Amino acid sequence: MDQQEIDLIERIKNGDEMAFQTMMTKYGERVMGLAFHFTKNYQDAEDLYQETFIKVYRNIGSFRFESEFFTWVYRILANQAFNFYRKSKRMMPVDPGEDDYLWETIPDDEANEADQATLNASLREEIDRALRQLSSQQRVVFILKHYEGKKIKDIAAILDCTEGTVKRYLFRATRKLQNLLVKA
Amino acid sequence: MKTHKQFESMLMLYFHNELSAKDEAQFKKHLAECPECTGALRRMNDLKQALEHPSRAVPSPVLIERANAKVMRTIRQTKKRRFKWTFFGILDEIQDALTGFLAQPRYQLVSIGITFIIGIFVGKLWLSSGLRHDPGMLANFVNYQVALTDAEKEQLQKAMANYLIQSGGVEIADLIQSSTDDNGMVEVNLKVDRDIAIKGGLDDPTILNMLQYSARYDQDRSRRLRAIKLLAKSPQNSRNESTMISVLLNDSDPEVRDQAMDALESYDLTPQIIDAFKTIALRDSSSEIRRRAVKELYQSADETIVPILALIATNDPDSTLRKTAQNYLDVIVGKSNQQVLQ
Repeated sequence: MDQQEIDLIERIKNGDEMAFQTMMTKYGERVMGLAFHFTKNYQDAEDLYQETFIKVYRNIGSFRFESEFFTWVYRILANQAFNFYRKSKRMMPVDPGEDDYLWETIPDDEANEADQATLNASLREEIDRALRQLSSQQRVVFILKHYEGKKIKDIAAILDCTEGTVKRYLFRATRKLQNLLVKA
Repeated sequence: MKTHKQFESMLMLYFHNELSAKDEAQFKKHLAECPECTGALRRMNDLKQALEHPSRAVPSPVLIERANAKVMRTIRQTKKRRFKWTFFGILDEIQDALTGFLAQPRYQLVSIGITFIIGIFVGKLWLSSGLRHDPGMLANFVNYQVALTDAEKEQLQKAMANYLIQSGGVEIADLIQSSTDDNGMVEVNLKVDRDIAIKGGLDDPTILNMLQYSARYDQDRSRRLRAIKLLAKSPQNSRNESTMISVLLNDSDPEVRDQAMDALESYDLTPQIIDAFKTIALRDSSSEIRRRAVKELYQSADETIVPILALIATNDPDSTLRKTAQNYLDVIVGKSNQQVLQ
């Protein structure tokens, strides 16, 4: 963690709202992106985002600089995601709703842009359905690994568990998804 | 040298790009020689391809700004309300913290354990609560028992009848008195999904329960009359008394009220009965019932009846009753004057 970030966190701890806004601006896009992966719904992603940063602000006093700050933020986000799964019991299908204009669709590369048009809508639906069938732990681990590209040890740090546990969830999630998609 | 089994367990880590450089080189070497692992990896790559989104949704700066503004607004509001947290707000915070905590992978066993303990606690509570004596549940249980004695069947039907009466929505289909003497057996048929016949004497609490229910709520006037008649034959007790009072005060049929009046006249007077008579004397639509109530009140020698009699003596629509009330009043007042003079 660089000195600039440590100073920023110290200022937030002292109640500096400007510092907190700076931090949100810095990490906002990543948190919102991951929230969307967790919820698969724009509105829920925004709610998750807000709940996460409100918790960050309220609990910043307990941050002891023992891990990367963003790992700590991720941990709060993952806990909020667990709560979200518990409350909603299911992930909502992607519904653009009225706020879809606030999300920009960026193709990964030229080839993929061409693929986008041909990607079968029902396949996407199958994938979302398969993801919904994973347990919340498996889903969070899989999303952190697959969509965020996190290493197993980082996921273990985020979820505050052992690497073995993460591996177990990841293996089960991968196998389950494989079976579900083969059946589909 | 690693075994095939060991390589198999490395496959998933290789797929997720989690192998060390040394292990990866070793695995790649194995992959070139092992069609089984190659096949498994190909299937995993198919999954990867299927999951790959050709595009990714990125939140616009406007969205982030809007969400940040909402966060700041909530934080400022919370600061203002810091000392005004509601009970439910705190409860919600505790629930969120607890569920967030228990949902974490490392605490999964703890949450299973807590669920198990709560299960045992609820089970014990159920066993000690008397719910197991619930006739509805009992009926379900007994229905699965092949051999039931007649006595058991009868007990079960009575329990069910009591349960149905308590839960309401029951129509008394018929009241049959099989013999005419005072200790005769009474049969009550309930109209539910199917008829349930219950037999018992007037000392049977279930039968009394049925009759009390029928007297108050039966749609059929003749059954109400018969229920009251039968109840009147059972000894006076608070439930019979309150049933008769309820009928007297609420039944729309004067003949039924009259029958209840008969029963109450035969009872020893209690403050509740006197109160009921006072009400009836003032407001019953039947002048005959009002007359009987006035007479009973007079005979009760209760001091509090003077204003009631005075009201009746001046306001009752029936001139004969007004006169009667005045006479009673004169007697009571005359007696009290004599007492004063003495």
